[in-house]
Amino acid sequence: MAIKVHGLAVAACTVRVLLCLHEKGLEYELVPVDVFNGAHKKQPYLSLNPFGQIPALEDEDIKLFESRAICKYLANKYKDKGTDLLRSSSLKESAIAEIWMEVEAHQLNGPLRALIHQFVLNPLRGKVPDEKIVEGELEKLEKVLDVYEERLSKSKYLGGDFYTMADLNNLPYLLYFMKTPKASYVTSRPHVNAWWNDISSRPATIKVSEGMTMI
Amino acid sequence: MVVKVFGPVHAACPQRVLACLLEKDVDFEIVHVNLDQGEHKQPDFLVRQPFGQVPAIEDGDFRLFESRAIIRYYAAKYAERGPNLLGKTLEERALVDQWLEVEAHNFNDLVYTMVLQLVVLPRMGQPGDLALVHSCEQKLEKVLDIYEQRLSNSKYLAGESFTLADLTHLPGTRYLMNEAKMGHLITERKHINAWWEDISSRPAWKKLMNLACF
Repeated sequence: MAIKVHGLAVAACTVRVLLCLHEKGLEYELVPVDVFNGAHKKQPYLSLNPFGQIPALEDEDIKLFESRAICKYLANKYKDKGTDLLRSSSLKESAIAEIWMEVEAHQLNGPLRALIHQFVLNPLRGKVPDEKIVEGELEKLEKVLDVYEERLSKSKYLGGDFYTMADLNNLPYLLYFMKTPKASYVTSRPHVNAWWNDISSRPATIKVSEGMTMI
Repeated sequence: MVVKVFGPVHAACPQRVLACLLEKDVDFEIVHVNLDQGEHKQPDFLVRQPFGQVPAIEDGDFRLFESRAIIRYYAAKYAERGPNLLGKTLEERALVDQWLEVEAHNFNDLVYTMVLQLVVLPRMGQPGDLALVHSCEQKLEKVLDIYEQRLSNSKYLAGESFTLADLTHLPGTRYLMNEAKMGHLITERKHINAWWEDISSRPAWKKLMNLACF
């Protein structure tokens, strides 16, 4: 199989890459990495990603890491296949999508990741969510979702009138977040909620989320 | 019509954009935003950048924010002009994207936290959290060991040419080495040090340093 994804079907950043592969209709092999026993911090995995993080991609001779970069590579290489995730035929449309990809990476990712840590990972380790951390992260999340609500009141998707990587990149952590007791932060915002309902019911999203069994 | 860049010339994220515009010889005008007086949190600015952060740009009637999105746009728009900042082949482009992500997710937060605690808070009369600085420093050492390994195999982060992957590191690294006085993290690593000497002596960066009166 030409495309190999090293990672775990339950892990958010691996999910990001799998969503992209499914949106593009690409065949791939998922090579599990035994993260729970530290395989990602040792060789041979470190030769795929020296930062010891999943996922990593092998596509014939090319090796890449960082899920958002992997997704861009796949979207560029297969730009004529499946969903047009980067709007690469229009520099301006592409730039608008890039803004919201950066927003996901720098504004939403932090609080969502921290909340998943509290509500999903902590229970797996026999711990309860830390109320103080949860409160702080929810406060940050609210501010970001207010911006999303405003944006999505003017635009069907984050990047414009069409689904792009700007929307896709939000799905991995959101898919877990919506199973936590704090899902109302999304459902209480009408435009964010409509957007969430739309992107979470895409065939690619449904397919990939079947593997997200951590919660 | 020149590109308007909204933000103070001394701040790291506007510098990321200005460095790119200078590399590409794109005319611009800096519209100062007074962060000390909270200008970036005022309604007029929030229309440009809803998170109240600098920079934002205005290019005719086209507006963008997020410095890393802005540099990607201009590097693509002026791909045929000046240095190729995006990579020529599909693989090179992917490596540029990969190291842009490394900067954003493995480098930036550590450097930002250290500069905040060592420089920004004390300037505002508040004590910095030195334990947090130490913890960030230890993590950054491990990250930079990986950069050192990479740069021992490759002149620049994405390959043999200077690209956005290198440019994106300029502002933060300068703050780390100068105001935060953490230069040893760079100078103690032979290949990182050579890389830093190279990228920080590019004419575009030197022009920016003049503009910023650094």
